[in-house]
Amino acid sequence: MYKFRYHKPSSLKESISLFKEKEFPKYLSGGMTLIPSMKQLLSSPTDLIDIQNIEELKGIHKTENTIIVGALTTHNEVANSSIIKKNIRGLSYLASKIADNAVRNCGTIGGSICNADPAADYPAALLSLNAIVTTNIREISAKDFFVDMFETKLESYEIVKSVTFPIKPKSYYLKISSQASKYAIVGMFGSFDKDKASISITGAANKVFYLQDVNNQSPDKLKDYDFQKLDLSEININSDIHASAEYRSSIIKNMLPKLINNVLKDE
Amino acid sequence: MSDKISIVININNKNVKLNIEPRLLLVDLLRNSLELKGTHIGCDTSQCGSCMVLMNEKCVKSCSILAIQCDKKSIKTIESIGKENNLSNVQKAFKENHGLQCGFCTPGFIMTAIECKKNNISTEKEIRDFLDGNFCRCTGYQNIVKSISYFLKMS
Ligand SMILES: Cc1cc2nc3c(=O)[nH]c(=O)nc-3n(C[C@H](O)[C@H](O)[C@H](O)COP(=O)(O)OP(=O)(O)OC[C@H]3O[C@@H](n4cnc5c(N)ncnc54)[C@H](O)[C@@H]3O)c2cc1C
Ligand code: FES
Ligand code: FES
Repeated sequence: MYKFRYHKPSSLKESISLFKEKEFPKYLSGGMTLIPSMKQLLSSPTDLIDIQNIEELKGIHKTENTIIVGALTTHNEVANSSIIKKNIRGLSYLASKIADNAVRNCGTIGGSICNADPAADYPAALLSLNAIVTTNIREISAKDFFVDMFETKLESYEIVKSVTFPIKPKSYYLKISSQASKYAIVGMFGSFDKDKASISITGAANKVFYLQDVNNQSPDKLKDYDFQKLDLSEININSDIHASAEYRSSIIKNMLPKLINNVLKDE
Repeated sequence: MSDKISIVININNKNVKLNIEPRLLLVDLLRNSLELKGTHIGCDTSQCGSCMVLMNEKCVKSCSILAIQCDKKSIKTIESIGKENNLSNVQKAFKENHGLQCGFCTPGFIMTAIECKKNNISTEKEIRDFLDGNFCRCTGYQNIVKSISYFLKMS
């Protein structure tokens, strides 16, 4: 690992002014992506700004219609939170399926979405649920937040403070994952907005995407829907060492009925 | 640019004052500076779990965390879990159920077993899911699962 300077500010303001002063700085959250990439010399910041002590980025809160999850909330905290289990079952289930227990003890929701790995799990939940990402300067809706592979709408110095999810007990997540890392080969998050489905898919393309043909359909229609006829030709499904595009498309078509059953089962 | 920073980590129940370079990984601190060689390095992709230690009583991969991130926290390594002539229950469980072959992965599995117990895990399926972050190259999983089930039933 190359040398760098280390800073541990205690406020958001201090973090941002440090960031603006330095040559090639990076924020450090759980470190579960950043430290492995620095070890492999894929990333070599001059300064690491460790945000783990910033209180404003912590905690899970419920309002009347939403759940607000602080950026520093770890995957295991989301998986084990009784508030999230009760109000957005699919989200706590998704978090429990990220990586392995030790990674879930460190990795954070903020770090995961800022990294925008095309095979990461959280983006599917954010998009399906139409979540709002709050930063130090603005609010960004999930559909605008994820721009491309490893690319988000964020300015380099911008810090994600929290993610706001609407309450949706009827929600579920399914994935076929790489056995070694658990990253999604195909991951799908489903929820219903009143009587309209909202399904999004991660792991299968350069970034998370909506399943347009299925979205906005009612539960009744979806029960009899012929998913084998689903047209995925508009989407650039990727092929890599884990799976061919054909295999990924087949997973999508075959996993959808199970996803929908599970979403609807949850009352 | 390699300015050292002073930190204090509670390692195996002792406060240790350290003056370290920010880029020092926790596993290198433990193995090279403190001679705690029970924590192993088995991969460079953060996947094998041979380097697992407890940070504030929870499993973390010491190869993927900077020592400096552990300032004012507690770290427990396999050296604090039992002694050769006075094994802890989890070690007895592995010994009695032939839960190790070469033993390289074992310190990591022991840490995961300890967190299994804290999380009230009980069924075989739950144990197997919980072991996702630990690889055994001798593929002794059958007996590792047996050892952990046995440990979870010990009082
Ligand atoms: C073995 C292994 C398996 C994994 N498997 C999965 C998996 O199955 N599914 C999955 O989704 N992920 C997986 N991951 C990734 C894991 O979920 C990481 O926790 C996550 O990608 C990054 O979160 P972090 O808190 O560790 O971020 P860090 O590594 O600290 O940071 C990641 C990036 O985000 C930036 N950043 C962090 N927080 C903020 C913030 N609040 N505001 C602005 N920028 C910020 C950092 O500067 C950095 O560029 C795996 C990781 C490992 C090591
Ligand atoms: S050495 Fe840490 S996970 Fe393999
Ligand atoms: S016992 Fe040899 S690697 Fe597990």
